Amino acid sequence: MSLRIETDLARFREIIRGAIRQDLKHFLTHTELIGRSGSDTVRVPVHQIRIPRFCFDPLKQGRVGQGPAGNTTNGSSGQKAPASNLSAEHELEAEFSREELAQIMAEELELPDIQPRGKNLLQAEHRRYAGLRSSGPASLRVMKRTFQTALRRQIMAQIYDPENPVTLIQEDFRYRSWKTQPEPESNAVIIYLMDVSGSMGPEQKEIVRTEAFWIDTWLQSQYHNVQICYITHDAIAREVDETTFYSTRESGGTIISSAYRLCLEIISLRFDPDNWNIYVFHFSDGDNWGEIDTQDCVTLLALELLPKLNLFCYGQVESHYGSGQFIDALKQNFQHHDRVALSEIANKEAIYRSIRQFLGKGK
Amino acid sequence: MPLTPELEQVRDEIERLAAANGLDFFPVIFEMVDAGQMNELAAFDGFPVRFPHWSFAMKYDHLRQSYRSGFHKIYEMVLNTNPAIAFLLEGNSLTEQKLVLAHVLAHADFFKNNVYFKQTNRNMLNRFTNHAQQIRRLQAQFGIEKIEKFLDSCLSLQNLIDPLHPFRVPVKQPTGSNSVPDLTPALHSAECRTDKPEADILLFLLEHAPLTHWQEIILNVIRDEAYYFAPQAQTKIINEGWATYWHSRLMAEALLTDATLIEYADLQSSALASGPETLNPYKLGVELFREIAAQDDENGIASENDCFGRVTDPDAKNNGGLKKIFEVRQLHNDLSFIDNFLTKEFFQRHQFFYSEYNSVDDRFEVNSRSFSVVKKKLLQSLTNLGSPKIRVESANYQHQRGLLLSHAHDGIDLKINEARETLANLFHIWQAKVCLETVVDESRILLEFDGSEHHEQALD
Repeated sequence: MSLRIETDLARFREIIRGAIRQDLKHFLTHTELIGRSGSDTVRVPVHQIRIPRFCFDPLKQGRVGQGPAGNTTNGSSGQKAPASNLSAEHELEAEFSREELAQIMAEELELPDIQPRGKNLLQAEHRRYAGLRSSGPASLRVMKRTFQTALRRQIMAQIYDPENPVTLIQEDFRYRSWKTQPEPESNAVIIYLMDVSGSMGPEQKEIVRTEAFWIDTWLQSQYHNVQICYITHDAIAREVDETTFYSTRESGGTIISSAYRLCLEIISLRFDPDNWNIYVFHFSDGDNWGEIDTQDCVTLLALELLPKLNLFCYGQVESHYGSGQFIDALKQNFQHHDRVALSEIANKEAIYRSIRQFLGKGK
Repeated sequence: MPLTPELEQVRDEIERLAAANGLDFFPVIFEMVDAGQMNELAAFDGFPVRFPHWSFAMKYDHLRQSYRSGFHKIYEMVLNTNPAIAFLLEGNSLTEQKLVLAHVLAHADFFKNNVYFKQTNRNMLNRFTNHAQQIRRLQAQFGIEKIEKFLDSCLSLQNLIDPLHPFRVPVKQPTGSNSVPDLTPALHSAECRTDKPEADILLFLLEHAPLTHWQEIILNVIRDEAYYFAPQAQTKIINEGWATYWHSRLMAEALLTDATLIEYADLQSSALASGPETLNPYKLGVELFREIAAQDDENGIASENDCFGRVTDPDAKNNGGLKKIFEVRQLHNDLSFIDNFLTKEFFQRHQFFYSEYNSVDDRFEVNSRSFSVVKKKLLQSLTNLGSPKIRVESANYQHQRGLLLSHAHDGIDLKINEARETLANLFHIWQAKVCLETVVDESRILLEFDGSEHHEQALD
């Protein structure tokens, strides 16, 4: 049964969405949110939605309770009440699916919908019930329409008998029929590359983690099937799982080309560019080992990687150690390339702008 | 859904039993609802229809999350109407339903007989439906957002009524123009303060604020509903205590079987659980009723209540105690109930205490176990429906049509940031500067809102 409150509920959700949009910068950098997102839904704390009243300050009001207090005698004061770890204000939490969250983000950041690459539009067949037919298996029989047909036939033939209203004959039976529709298949793979050399500290990784959460959320809302790969690199690149990705810290130097090579290898082995929309996000502090390797990277990108990708994003996270030159080399070569997005992320607050730079291309 | 035939039979039995014990109630219509519907009803304060507003959804959303997590379960809802309407939760066990049926009948008896409910509109279901209609019509005419914004402001002031004078009708002074409020002579005085501060602020606004016709309709709806719910809020402890007293007695004396005893005891103990954090109104109320019944019995024939509140000596029935509690349920609200019957001896037996917040350790700590202190705090928390006492002092403050409110501070500060937001909502209705005199950390201050900015100034 549908409830009357649904209308109010819809309006309430709209108000919450408005509040989230207004406060999006805060939410985008809200790491607690990400930590709790095990499932498809995310609980968003909303502070400012309430009907304010003239009311007593709950912390100054005091309470009357009942019960013995520990091992103290009656009448003595200053004894501690049994554990009452308080949260003075009832915190309102709204539940959102990640898809809804992605929509809110997209509206506020004005993210364009992604146009999958033309040649990758795979045709997949999708069956859907549509219409009726006069033959079919018994399991698909539609009794309501069958009786209607029978009734119509009998009335037309003037053999309708109210006492014994409907007699079904074979011609009356109606069955559900289906159509097959071609549907564009949209597979996407996100490959995250991250520099885990000594110069990337926990603060930098937190930024990467936060950005990756929003990128995942957005791309998952755009494609049916999204796979995610993680590659860490210092002087050598390795493919790892998510937990390792965010927790590894190596001390070695940095050879970025190693990561690009591994990335290429993964693509050629597992993700045929004709079937997959491929996204590569690379985060580093921009401290590469030597000019020669940087040149190597540029060549690799230009000749081998970019033709296979939808989008290559490079986010340079500021760190105390990094020299930060890698982004300059990329800027020189790919500044205006329509499948490359470059972003410098100075701190948490910069995440907002950076997400916009990455995803604003609509690729 | 109506009651199942099985429950219908049980209901007949319990109604007969309740009537035989002297309970006197309006006819009760029972409906079975599922948990979702029950949460919806609770969000609507018990009624199946309310005016459209998101705040009901906020409450519902909270209840829904809490129900799903297993934090609460609402067993019943009873409406103060004639005939009374009661909602029972589907899928409860027979024992649970028996308990709830008995509980509900006692509530219905309370609504019918308690003096604070005597004047309430017993046809409120229709009234609420009309309110919903009115507001929907206004929405259609002026747009959802405009109406919603005004509703937000009105709801923000909903607790600013005078529970001691519930039946006043706004008298709009005849005025030439709608935009200038006609102020009573007292309000024009040089001091700019009235001799008689007005506690019914919603009434004052209806009479003096520059309201358009549709705004007046909305404010009237909000005030009407606020006064309708005031007796409920004034009788939480005594009403729940009364209902609990009777369901315990009827269960123990007639409805329990050996097989259902444990289940009942389990239910009862969770309903009456009382902790240091909050006072359980069911527990406090039922214990007071048992106390009153037992004490007045002692004056006549001595009798003892056993652990179920059952009078062990059957000959002791229908004596002074029983008569007394019927009288108490008729004449008292929470405040007078506790003031009159919470004795020192009862207080010590039940180990009440008063605790205060300690900001250093971020927790509440026991501050006092003294009878006079704790009782005073308890009574204070029940005074004026638990809301701060705020009154209109002037409607021409500083000769600028400013609205001056004062908070009669009795030891507890207001929540200042929320007070500021409320002032802004008041401005939306009053359309000129609004001020509130209050006390923060023992110094008097004046909060002002002039439509764009908040100001605060010290008064001492």
